[in-house]
Amino acid sequence: MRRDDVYFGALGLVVALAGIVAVLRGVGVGITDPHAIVPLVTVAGTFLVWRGLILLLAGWLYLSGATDGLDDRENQATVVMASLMLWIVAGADLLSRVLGAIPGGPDVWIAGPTEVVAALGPPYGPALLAAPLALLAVQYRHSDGDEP
Amino acid sequence: MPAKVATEGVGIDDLRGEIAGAPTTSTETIRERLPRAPETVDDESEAASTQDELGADDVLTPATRWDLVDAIVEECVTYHDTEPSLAELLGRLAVAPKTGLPFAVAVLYGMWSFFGAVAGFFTEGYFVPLFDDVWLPWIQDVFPMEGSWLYFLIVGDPAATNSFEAFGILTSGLFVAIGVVLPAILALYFLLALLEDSGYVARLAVLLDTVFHRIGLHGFAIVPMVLSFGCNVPGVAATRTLETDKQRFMTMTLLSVFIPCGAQLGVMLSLIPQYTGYILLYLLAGFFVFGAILNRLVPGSSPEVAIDIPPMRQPRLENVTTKLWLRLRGFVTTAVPFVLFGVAVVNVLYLGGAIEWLANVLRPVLSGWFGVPGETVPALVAGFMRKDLAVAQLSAVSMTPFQTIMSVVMVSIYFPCVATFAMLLKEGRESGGALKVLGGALATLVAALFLWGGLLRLIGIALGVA
Repeated sequence: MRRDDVYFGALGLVVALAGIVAVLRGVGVGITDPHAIVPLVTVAGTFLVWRGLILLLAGWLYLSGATDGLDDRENQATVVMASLMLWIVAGADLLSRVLGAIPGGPDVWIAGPTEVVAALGPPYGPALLAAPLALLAVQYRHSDGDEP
Repeated sequence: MPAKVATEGVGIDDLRGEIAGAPTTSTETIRERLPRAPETVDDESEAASTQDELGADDVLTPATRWDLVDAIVEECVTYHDTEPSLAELLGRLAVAPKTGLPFAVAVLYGMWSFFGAVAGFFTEGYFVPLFDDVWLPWIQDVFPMEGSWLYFLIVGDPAATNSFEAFGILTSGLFVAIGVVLPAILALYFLLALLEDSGYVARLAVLLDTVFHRIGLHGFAIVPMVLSFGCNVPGVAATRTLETDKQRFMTMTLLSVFIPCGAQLGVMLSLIPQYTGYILLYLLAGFFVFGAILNRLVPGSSPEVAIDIPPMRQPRLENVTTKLWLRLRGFVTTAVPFVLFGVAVVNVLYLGGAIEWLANVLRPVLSGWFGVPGETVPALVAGFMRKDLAVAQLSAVSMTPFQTIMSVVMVSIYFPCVATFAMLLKEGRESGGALKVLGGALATLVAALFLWGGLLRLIGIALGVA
């Protein structure tokens, strides 16, 4: 078993679990927001069911690619696809934070840099936290992307 | 080009330097390599007379031209096995249901989030304060003849404190057209151009082809459908790419009845975010159920199409910006005047008392069949022209959660807005006749309203919430 099999398998498990929590919270099941335990993380906000579903599916694709073996190019591409899904959710989250912070409210057309940077602070959603960890999938962009 | 070809397992030998690197066109280079330059003749019968004049070897008929192409390919092209690139593998995974459907969900979510963030940034961040705090007080102040019908038509309610509720052409009309719809369209067209140029839209069409075939359409119906989530007007215009009158009619009708536009969705998301997802799912289910019914009822054919799938590639900025500019210009010149016209028509109908009369006539039917309070009827009737404002008006009426969902669903399906209505007329002329298209669309929406709306109430009764 390659090291990246283990890495993306573990990432898949974590992402899928976060997805399940988000879907359950989204449909109204009384699960506590992880924010209460770990201040850095939150599973809340709009479109929670959809975001959770995408995380769950991305986790499943990671697991599928890792268990089938990442020495195969198609499984590597599956992992890249799962990472793209993660980056889409994380990118959307980041974009809405930045664009939401730029208009400064009443009588202020553009907020100062401090306010914009403050909007980028914690807590973060699971996708935003997992997005940097998925960057390892970039190694598969070339066909000679052997075991790291 | 040679580099691109090489990654796909095709090599170019021998003539490569002359053909691919030649300063002139490849055709000219090939001609230079030939012993003599033959005359090119497209018509076989013409070839005979030309052969008589010039001699058989000096004439290139279509058949000999293909032979020449085969000979050149055989001489200078070699094929060999290569490892597929990541882009090729991603392209394949994007059309396989197991991986393609999850990815499609993520892409559509990304589209919608981007759309919400960008449209919200411009509308809520800048256009709302600009129109409400600067433009509206100024025009209310400077426009003469307050209290006259002209003032009501152009400026609207002189006591209004926001452009959403003023109802004038230059207040609500301009605000909806420029402040609400334009940012939504900008975001949506940008994303669509990006996805088209990356090669993903064609793959999405292939992926969804099976689903759309069940209702007599094909995968490319996803393009007008996605556009309609921004505004139904460009969505209806985009049905021109479909093959037959039947497909165009079906898509136009289904879009205008079941797909809520960006402005309406924006209002729904801001007023009733907790119900918007459920409402969308119910409307999408209606799209496919009524699509299947229309497919059986509407005469005409739904031919198979061969889709050319381009390779997945990085979009080029200049192509994306050119597309964006052309489409935005088309939207501004075509749809914005319709929105302003729609506001004018609503105001004239209000002034003439037609809206009030219609509300009184329809009150027993709408309240009795759908179980919504009588206070919602004026908003529902006004929704004929302005669905986004109708949803906003509904939020001010005291209702149970189920009644709110019910009334928003009714606003969505019960009539296209006036701009879409005008576009249906315009496009209908080229798709089997304006009256035929409009009559069919109206019949469909009446059936959809009473059957699909009635079914929702039955579901509510069964669940004990209606």
